[in-house]
Amino acid sequence: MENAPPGSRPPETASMEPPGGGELSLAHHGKTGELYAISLINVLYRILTLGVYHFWAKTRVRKYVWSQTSLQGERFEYTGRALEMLIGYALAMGILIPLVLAWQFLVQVLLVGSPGLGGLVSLPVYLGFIYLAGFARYSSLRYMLSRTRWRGIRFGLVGSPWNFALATLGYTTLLGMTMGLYWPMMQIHLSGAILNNLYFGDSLRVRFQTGTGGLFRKFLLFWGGAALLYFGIMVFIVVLFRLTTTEDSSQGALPLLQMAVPMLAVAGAVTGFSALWLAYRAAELRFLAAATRLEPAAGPGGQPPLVQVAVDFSTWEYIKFKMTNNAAMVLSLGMAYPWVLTRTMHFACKHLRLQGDPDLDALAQSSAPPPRTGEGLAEAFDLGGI
Amino acid sequence: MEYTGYYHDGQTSARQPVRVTLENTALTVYALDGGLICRFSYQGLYLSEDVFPGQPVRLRHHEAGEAALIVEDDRILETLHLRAGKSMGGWGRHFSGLRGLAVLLSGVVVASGLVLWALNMAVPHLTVLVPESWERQLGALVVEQMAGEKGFCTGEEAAEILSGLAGRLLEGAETPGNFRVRIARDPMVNAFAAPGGEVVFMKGIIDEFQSPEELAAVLSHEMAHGLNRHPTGKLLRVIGLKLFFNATLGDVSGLAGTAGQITEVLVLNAYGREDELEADLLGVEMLNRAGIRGDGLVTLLERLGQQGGNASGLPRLLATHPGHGERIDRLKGMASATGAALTPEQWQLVRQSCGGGGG
Repeated sequence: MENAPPGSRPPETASMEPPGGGELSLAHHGKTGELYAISLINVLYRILTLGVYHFWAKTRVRKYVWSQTSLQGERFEYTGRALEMLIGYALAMGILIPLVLAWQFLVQVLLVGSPGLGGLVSLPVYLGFIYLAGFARYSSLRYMLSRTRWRGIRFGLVGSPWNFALATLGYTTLLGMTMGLYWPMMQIHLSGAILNNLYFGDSLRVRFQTGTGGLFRKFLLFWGGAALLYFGIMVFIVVLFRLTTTEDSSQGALPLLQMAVPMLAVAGAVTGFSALWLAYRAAELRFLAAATRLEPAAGPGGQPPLVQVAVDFSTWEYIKFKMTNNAAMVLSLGMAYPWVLTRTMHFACKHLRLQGDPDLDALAQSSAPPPRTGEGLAEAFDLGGI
Repeated sequence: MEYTGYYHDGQTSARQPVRVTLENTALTVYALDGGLICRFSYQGLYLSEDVFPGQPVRLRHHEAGEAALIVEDDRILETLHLRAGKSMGGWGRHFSGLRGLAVLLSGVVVASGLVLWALNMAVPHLTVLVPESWERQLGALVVEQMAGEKGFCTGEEAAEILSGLAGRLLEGAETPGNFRVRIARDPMVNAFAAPGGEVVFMKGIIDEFQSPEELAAVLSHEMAHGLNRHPTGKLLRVIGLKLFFNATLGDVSGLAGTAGQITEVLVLNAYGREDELEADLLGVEMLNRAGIRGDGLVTLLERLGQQGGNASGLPRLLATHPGHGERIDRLKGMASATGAALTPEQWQLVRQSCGGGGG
């Protein structure tokens, strides 16, 4: 994995003057109705093929979403094939199923009388799952990027998925040990591990470089706020319970109040927690984007950037956007997905800013061979995504 | 016919403006200065993605490597169709708003209906194919899992009495069977049959019984389900449905959860109306043949029906489609025997086997 070169301490956020003064235009042309048509056709084929069509369905949706998104007026292209995904899935299943069966046999049959030993055996298995999920995330991204073209030029992700898996495992362990406080550092390190390996053809590469302090301070605000909220709600419920039970509640004098108020409190807490989290996420996304630049692929790191990335949504805009998406998904039992996806693409294209004026006519095709199969493991772990 | 567009050679990101002409066997790409860039034969030409209104047409060729041709005017698809005699799959352009969605939605509904109907039809035939040894193993597993740590009520005498009653009910049955009857230490008012001849009463229902004939009636009813292999059929139906919904929703992350739900399916889910009526009928036949009074199920159903508001006390036995009144009337007309199911001493032993009250 390629990382930022050692040397002078990088700035907290790499925001700088937009290179070249210009800006690249990004747009999404997709329509909800069209995506619903595709989804319905996909459901139909899935039913008729008893699910095998899944990979073709996914490919079809990607082809639509990619081809409806344009950079400088040129639409992206997805060239992945369903059969590649199906083969990847079959390979992943061929490895995963025997492993899971062996583990289950060990725990449920051989060690059935000793739950302690069963737990001990299961721990490395759970760690293994985290490791494999990291591997799956990286290799699925690598596959997807290698099948993404703009003006015929392929994207590419170099670096090793095994290293990324190890990093995921290590950072997740740290996350648990620090009661979640490691989250912003984990996000920065893992984003760097991906973005610093991301290339466009042979000419352009992404450079991600930042310190962690600024984001950590923002995370502390969220973490403290969430903890306060949690204890506040707990105290509220306990006080309420005391108040209502000291009166003659055995007669059921205040059953409605006793039932409804804690439920409202919990609903309020969930909403409050979500809002806090989304406020942090908005800051995190702005921070990560500001640390991301496009540079010429050749030569040493730290060259003047050709394009500076930024996202420009306000915290409130982001909270409103995500909460509407989530509410729509829950209330529609998931059937709002095409609407949510289209909306997300429009939102992303509107707020992702690519500042710079690079020469986009002279970029060379990638000389690296793309992976042959992909995403099987990601599918097995149900990592989602488009 | 001539179109304008641009060409990517797949080597650089240059976007070369071009003229495209469609000839008899091939499509030819010219630079704006007239120089020939390439020819794509119709054979091997394909669309990179579905084309929707307002979207440029992106064409690739199997023999052209990474090169791509982009034409802004989507009418080229019709020209290609006329010239090359092949459909280019630009269905998205013909998609017309709500009407198109309605047609597609109807298709989904019809296809779902067909698959579910086929599943329902196939289940009885599939059930017959499940080997009895599998059923027995599955049944034992399910019953153990259900009882969990609470376990079963011990008491060999009570177990013998229940086996004896099951044996009497089986006498003269057309289908031979071998049943194991147990009482689980569970306060739920319920009884169920698992595959492989397992019948489980929960302690709650034993306490609820007011006569041994009520017990015999429920036992014969559950045994009838077992003899007709309804539990296995129900499992196949539920697994089939789960597979269907997973397939439809595109969830291929596995069916790992299904195994854990088998017990829940058997204990809590109701059988279909036909299965229930079939079990009622066979159950009463068994009681008649064994010479046991058949009004037990009637009195139990009537009593539990009156307590109907209490959902937790309402056994699965009641939570099924045949209407109460209809079911009770039917049962009343069929019972013909008048004998007792157990002696008062035997009844006492069964009632006490789980620490319940006598009488």
